[in-house]
Amino acid sequence: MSIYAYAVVDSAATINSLTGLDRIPVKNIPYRDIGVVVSELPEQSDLSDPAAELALAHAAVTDQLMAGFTVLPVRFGTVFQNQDAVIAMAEEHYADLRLNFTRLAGTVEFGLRVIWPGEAIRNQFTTEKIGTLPFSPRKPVVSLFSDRRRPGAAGGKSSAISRMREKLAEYRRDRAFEERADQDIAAIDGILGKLALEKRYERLRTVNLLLNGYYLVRKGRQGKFRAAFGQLKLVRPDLKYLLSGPWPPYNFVMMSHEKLQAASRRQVVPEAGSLGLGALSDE
Amino acid sequence: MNDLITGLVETDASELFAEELDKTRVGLPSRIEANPTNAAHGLAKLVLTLVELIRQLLERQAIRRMDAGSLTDEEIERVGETLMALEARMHELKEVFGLSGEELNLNLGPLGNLM
Repeated sequence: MSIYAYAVVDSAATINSLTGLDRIPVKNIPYRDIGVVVSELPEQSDLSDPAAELALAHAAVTDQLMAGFTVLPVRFGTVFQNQDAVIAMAEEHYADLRLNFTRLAGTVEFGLRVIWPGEAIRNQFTTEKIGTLPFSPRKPVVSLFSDRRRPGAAGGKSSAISRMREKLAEYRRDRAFEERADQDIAAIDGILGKLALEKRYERLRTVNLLLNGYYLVRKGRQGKFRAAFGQLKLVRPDLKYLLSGPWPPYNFVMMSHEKLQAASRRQVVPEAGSLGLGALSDE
Repeated sequence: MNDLITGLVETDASELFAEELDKTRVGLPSRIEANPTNAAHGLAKLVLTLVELIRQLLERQAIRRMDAGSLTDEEIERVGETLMALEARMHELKEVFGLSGEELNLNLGPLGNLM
C-alpha cells in the first residue's frame, strides 16, 4: 500500500486523532527530531484528477498540524511507495528541512489576490495617445547605404516601417499600463508589506488580475495583518480582493543551502530578534 | 470541511476571482500524450514554439531600440521586413503541421503567456 504525505513537522512525536484522505488515520513517521505526516493510500485512489474533497482533506490536515507544530507543507498529491521511501527522503533532505524549520518557525502565509479594472485602464492608453508620442529615428552617421536604400525607406512609408511603428505604439501602451500597475502594487505594498517577513509577487497574470501575492507573517501578527487588509479595502475601494490564510508557508519553503543563504542575506526583519516563539507575543 | 475554507478565504467577489483564475490556467498540459504516431507532430510543435519565442524576443529587442532612437529609418525598415518574412514563414509552417497559434502558447510564469 502506498503512503500519502501531507507535511513535514518539527517533531518526531506520535500524532493521534487526526484523519486524512478517505478518513484514514494520519500518523507521523519520525526521523531524528523531525517527522513526516502521512496516511495510507488505498489502491483505488486516483489523485491524477483530484476532486475538491481530496484537496480539502489535505488542507484540513495541514491546518490542524499548524496548531501544534512548525509545518512544511508537502505538495498535494505526493505519494511514496512505502515507509522506507519516506525515511529516505527525510534523511536526504534533513539539513535543508532543519534550516527551513528555523527560518519559518512561528510564521504563517497569507495569499492576496487583487483584481483591478485592467481592461478599462488599458483602454485609457489608446494608440492615439501613446502612438503620437515623439519618435525620433537615429539619423545615419554616414550615408554609405544611400544607393542601396529601398524605395519608400527614406519617407518611412513602407509597410515594414508602418508595421514597426504600430508595434512601437503597442509597446509604449503596454509599458504605460505596466507602470500604472506597478504604482498600484506599490500602494498595496505600502500598507501590507511592512507587516510581512518575506513576500512574493506575481504581477498581471491576466490583464485584470493585478496582483497575486504571498506574505510570510508571524503568527502573533496575524491580527495586525488582517487589520491592515481592512485599511487597504477602505483606502482602495475600487479594487476587488481575495485574502486567504493563514496557511502553512507553501510559497516560502526553499530546498537548497544556496537559496536559503541568499534569502537570509536579503531578509529584512523589522524588529531585532529571532523568528523563534519568544518573538511572537507582540500583538 | 467547507467551514475550513470559509474561515480561510475572505472575498466579496468570489465569482469574479473564479473567472479570472480560470484564465491563468492556459499553459502546459497536465499530461503529455506521447505515442509513436504523434511524435513528429509533438516535436514540430515544440520546435515552432521555440522559434516563435525567439522571433518575439527579436521583435521586442528591435522595438526597444526603436523606442530609444538608436535605429535609423533604413534599419527599422530592414528589421521590419525581416520580422515580417519570419512571421510569414512561421504561418506557412504552422499550416504544414496543422497547428494553430494558440497551440504554440507558453506560460512563462510571471512574464505571462507567450501569445
